[in-house]
Amino acid sequence: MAYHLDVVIRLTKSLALTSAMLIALAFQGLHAQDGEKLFRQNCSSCHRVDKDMTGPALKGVQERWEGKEDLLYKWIKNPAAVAEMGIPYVDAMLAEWMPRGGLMNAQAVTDEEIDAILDYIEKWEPPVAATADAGETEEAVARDEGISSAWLYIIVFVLLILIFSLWGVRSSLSKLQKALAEAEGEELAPELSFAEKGKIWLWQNKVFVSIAGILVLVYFVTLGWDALMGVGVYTGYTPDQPIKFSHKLHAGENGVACVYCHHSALKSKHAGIPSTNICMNCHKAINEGRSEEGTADIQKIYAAVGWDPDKQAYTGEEEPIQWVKVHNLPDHAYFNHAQHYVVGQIECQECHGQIQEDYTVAGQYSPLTMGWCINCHNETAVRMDGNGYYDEVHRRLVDNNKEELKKYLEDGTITARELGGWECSKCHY
Amino acid sequence: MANNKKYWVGLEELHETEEFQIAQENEFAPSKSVDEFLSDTKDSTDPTSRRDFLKFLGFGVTAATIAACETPVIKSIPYANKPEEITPGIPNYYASTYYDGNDYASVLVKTREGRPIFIKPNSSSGQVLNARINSSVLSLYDSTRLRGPLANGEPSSWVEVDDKVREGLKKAADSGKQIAILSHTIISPSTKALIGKFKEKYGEDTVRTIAYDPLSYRGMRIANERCFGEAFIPDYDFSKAKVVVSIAADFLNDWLMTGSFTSQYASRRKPEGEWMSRHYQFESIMSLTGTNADKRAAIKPSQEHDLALAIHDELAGMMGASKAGAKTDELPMDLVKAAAKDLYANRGSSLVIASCNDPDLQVIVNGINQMLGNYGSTIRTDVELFVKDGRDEDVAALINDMKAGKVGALLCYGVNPAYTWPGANAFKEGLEKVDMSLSFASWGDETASLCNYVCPDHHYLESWNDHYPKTGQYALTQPTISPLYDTRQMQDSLMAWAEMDGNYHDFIREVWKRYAGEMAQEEVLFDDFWYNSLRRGSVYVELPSSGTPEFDSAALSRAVASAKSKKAPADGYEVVLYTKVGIGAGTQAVNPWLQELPDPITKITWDNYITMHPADVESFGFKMHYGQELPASLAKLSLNDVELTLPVIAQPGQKRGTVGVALGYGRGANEEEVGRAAFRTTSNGSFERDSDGKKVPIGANAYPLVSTASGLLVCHRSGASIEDTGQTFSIAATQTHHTLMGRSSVLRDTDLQQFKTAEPSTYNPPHVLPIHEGGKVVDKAVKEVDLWQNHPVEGVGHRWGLSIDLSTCTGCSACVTACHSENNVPVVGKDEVRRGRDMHWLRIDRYYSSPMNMELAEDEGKGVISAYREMEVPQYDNPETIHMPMMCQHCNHAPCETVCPVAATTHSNEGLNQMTYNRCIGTRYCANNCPYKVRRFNWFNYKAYNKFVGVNPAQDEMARMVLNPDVTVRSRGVMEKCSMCVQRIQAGKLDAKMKGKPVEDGAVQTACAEACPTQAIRFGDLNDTKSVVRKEHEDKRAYYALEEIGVKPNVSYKVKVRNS
Repeated sequence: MAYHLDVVIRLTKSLALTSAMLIALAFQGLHAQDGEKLFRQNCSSCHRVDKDMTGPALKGVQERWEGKEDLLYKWIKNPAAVAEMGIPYVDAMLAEWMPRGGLMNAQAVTDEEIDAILDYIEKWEPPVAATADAGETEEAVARDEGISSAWLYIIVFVLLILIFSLWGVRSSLSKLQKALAEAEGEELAPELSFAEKGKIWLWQNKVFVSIAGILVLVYFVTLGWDALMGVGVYTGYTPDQPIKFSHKLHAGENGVACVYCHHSALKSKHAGIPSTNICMNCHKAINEGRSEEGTADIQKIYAAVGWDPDKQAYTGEEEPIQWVKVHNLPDHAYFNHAQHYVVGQIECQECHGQIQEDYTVAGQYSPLTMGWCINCHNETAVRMDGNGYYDEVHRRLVDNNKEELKKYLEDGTITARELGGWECSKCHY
Repeated sequence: MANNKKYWVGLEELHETEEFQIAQENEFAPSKSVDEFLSDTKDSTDPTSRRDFLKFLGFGVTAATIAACETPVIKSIPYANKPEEITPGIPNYYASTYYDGNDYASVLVKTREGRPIFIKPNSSSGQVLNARINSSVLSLYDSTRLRGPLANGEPSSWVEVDDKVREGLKKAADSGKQIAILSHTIISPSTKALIGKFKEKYGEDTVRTIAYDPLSYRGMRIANERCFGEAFIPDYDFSKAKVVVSIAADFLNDWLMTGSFTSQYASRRKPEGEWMSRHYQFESIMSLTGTNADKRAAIKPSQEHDLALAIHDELAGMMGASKAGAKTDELPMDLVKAAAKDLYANRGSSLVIASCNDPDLQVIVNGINQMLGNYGSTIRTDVELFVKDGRDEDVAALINDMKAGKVGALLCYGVNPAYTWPGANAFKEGLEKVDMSLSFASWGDETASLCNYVCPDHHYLESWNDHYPKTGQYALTQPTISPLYDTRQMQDSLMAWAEMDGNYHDFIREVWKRYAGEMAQEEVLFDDFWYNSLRRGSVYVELPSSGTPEFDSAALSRAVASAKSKKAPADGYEVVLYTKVGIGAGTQAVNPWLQELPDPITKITWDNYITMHPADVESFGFKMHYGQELPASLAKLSLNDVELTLPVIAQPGQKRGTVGVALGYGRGANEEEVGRAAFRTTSNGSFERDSDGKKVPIGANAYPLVSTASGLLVCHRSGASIEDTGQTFSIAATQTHHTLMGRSSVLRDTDLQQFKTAEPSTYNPPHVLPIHEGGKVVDKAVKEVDLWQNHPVEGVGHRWGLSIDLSTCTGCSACVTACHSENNVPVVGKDEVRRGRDMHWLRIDRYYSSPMNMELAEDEGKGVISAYREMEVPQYDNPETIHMPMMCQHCNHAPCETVCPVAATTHSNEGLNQMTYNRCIGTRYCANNCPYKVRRFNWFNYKAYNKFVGVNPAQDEMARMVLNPDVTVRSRGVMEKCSMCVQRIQAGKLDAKMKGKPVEDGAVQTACAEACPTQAIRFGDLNDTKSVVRKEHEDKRAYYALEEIGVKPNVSYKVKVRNS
């Protein structure tokens, strides 16, 4: 009960806070909201509001620059120019911060935008409410599930009572019938065993039984067939990974291109699991996740690549992350990402699903069976436009073997299969 | 009515005997009653009853089945910090240099994810590879290499060993004894400079460097000193030589700088060229070079001087100079005269060479070349070779010093004198008197196992080094992988002992800084120069010619006099010691690829043997033939106190009265740790052991037979006797039938005269078939007759094809090992090769000419059967030889494809005959139906089966890393064959597609074409009308092997043309 009370209090508090913020925002127009966006776009790679990173924490920036606000605007727009002015405060700041990340880059922002950012920083509060919200929602979900399952139990219970009572009624009825018959002195038909009864019933319902039998047989055969066909097919395989990396966050929300991390798909047969130094391109600056787990996972990256976030320096102690391989193609099958992604211009999602929306780390979306491969080769038209390689192939067809070309073009397209995409040695050697 | 009849079971029942009554009570008559059974404590206390066992079995099987269905968890571990140049799945190439004291070549090392997996020639250097060099990548991964320093045979640490070695060196220096560095010829300027620093530390007079080459060229240097006043070896240019006369010099296999000579020689072996060289060979054994000669005669080694003098005299006769008066009886004077005539006609563009290490012979040869004016043209006096600078007399002196106790420390680098020095016992005796002996060997070999310390050197693929093999050519070796084991480069060891700072890499850079001005054309930043040199592998500098040195004719007359006064050879057989294409001098005898490589001449694998003229073989009553179930005779060759027991092989072309024995075998005779593949294995895969339980080495060590009589190492001796041991020895050969049986559709050859003057149809006749057409019999070309529908390959996309020029193919077998390396071809060992189960995707068939042919038989009135029987016998004295590389011909109408019951072998629309391992069920119909016999069946799981532990590198946890990740490792029960390197074709096509350009001719190369030192094998797209291979296929010399069967191969051959 005390727990519930606590939740209610927290809920009320957060509601009050949110409404207060809303009221404040209403007065400010859309300023602070823009400020947050602008802050994320321009500042967040080096700055936090409350924490030192590559650059200093920005909370209280206005107090620090008090009396030289004009200079602050100038600094943001062109730090190099301000740095040369020889202002004692700036020099002191540079002495402290230059070794950690170098001189700040000039930011392409207007004075109004700077206003909005500063406003956002001033109004910024540690995200307490957000945590409460999250707690509340989880609770609600849990309660929802509790209610539905309770209903289920009640229904099952009622049904069971019904079944038992009906059974009881039936057996007492038959006992009564027996007793009556006995009383009337009728000769009773010999008691049939259960099996004999069953036999008679089966005989009496021949048609029904045989149809049902066939259906059941078909069902089991299909079941068995599917099970056999599924041997070695691991669609949906989503093993636990050492880091709960979220494709949804990175590729989805943040819109990082797939090949930014999986860059070897541009050249090689492997798309590759990105090496940790690629993570560090962003996570050198982004050292906090959205949740505690996220922050802990980012620490795992640091441990792997040997980065000391306090000293902002590499220690040289590397320990590669041991991911679990998801897509396990048999050794005798050759697949090349570059062929499909670069030459075939096939989107990653065609084989990997809407990974930017669905999956947390990675899961196998496609069956990766040979049938699946060659089906695509059969249907997909080769992207020939503007590729000199295919121009040459095409020219040879036109010059030497128009008949063959006609055959290819019967359905209007030249598919991968027609150029040999169904041949064994395309994938097996 | 009830039937009251009673039936008795037997008389017992009728009489109701006692036994019957007892028996009736016990209906089932158990041997043990239930009570008894239960009360039997032994049974009831047994923890697992039969029922339990069955239960467990059932449960176990089910559980295992279910578990097997689970996805195995495979870890995928990316780099923590990916090196910029590595993209997983994309190979990198690094220019480097191979030098082991014997072979030298600029190479490109292919690495995948940081592992070297393939060695190919660095085409910008003009040097080519041989089988030994492209197999060297496997030696890198050998797990039997030493994994750290040894002190007195026990594993030690570098710190400890360094302390002790420094102490030992100091002690030697202080006691006034020598510190000797015994090494192969060092051609590294930096190593020489480093040894200079080492001398500074331990005393200029104390430290001595002695160069020792087991295959000595000292006689050549001495001869040049006598003739020109300087002990140098000039560079030879075979591309300028219109006539080459070689006196036993095997320059296509192993003679000075074979890597350069092979390509130069081959460039003049095309009949279409401006001119074609004519090659005379006089030799005792059948050498690789001899098989390529236009005219060849067999002579005894003791006749070499007379032969050289005879050529000299013939020339002198033509030039009006004074003759030396050679003994010409027993010499092949017809050929000598012809050679002299040709030499005279091509004065200034001819070349006479000899291999013998006798200075007198070399002086006479120099004299001939001087008479012909070859110095300055085919013999480059401005370019000197710095390889092969071993000083035999110094080595002998060192051994004497060692025995006299004058040597305080001996450091052996790149040499193995306990194995290669003819008087190995003297060396061993001396070694015991050396206070501190040390070897830099990678294995605990014959010498290293006797040394106090072994400080294993890096493999060359892990090392930094520089080279100066000939005037103006600087080259670098760079590491392509981090050291696999706790080894240390010899030079770094020397630096540690000389207490120098830094490492050898920095040292080389310092040395090169000094050279940079000399080497670079213009002033450039040193770093630019350095990285450019590294990228290219070598730097060439044109140095001003020093002019032709003065020839001292007095030296010639002295040599003539000395040659004429030579003692007659001792009675008995003359022994010629030679090096084989695969094993060479024996440094890589533990390399299974090289052991399995069939010798280009005998086609025998995994053994050395005594080669003998067939008539000699017959005279001893030895077996003439060998095969799967036909072992060879075992003979004992004895000379003074040396005895070798080896199988005897009848070798056509061998001089009567001589025998040949290959060097480099018999490694690890005292069970030294030289590696796995140097020892014989039994048919169950374990090592064969002698009566003492020692492992038996493959072959016998012939180095003790090397003659030191004149103070120089000479590779032939006289006075040997051969004795039949009465025993036999099985031989594993890949070819046991040696002649063509008149099948001109397999191989075609002609001579230059006919090629130049006659119609192509005379030497390359088209195949025609008589066909019934409209009631008449018409002759039609085979290609117009067809049962089949054509594959749509003409003009559609690509059509990959090979062309093989038999004129330039020397049979060197570099393609065979390259194919082995590229395609993960399994090594199967001697026992399986003997059964004809070798797995080479590419083999080289070697055919000898036969004195009999069908026309001759008809003239002589011989019957067909006896004619064919005689045609099976090759010419004994001097057969003509052809090497024919044979791989899958990728027939467009492939007989194998139609018989496969599961369509595991199919045709691609790019003209490839595809083999799909995962479909193959191993019926072997395809192999039976293949007219070229190029399909190979995996009889065993070579990578896991016990029998192949000793031979198959895939069973070595380290050597497995050499496997090409782009090629499936085949398992038992599937067929395999040449895929025309489809993995390279696919990669090349993808590269073109990504660049958006057509595939350039030459951009895709098969491993064999890439490795071919003479460009005899060409690969390309036949549908590309401008491609080289298309032109080769349309050439007038082009033909298809077995064209008459109409399988339409995509591999064509070009008629061999001899300039005879």
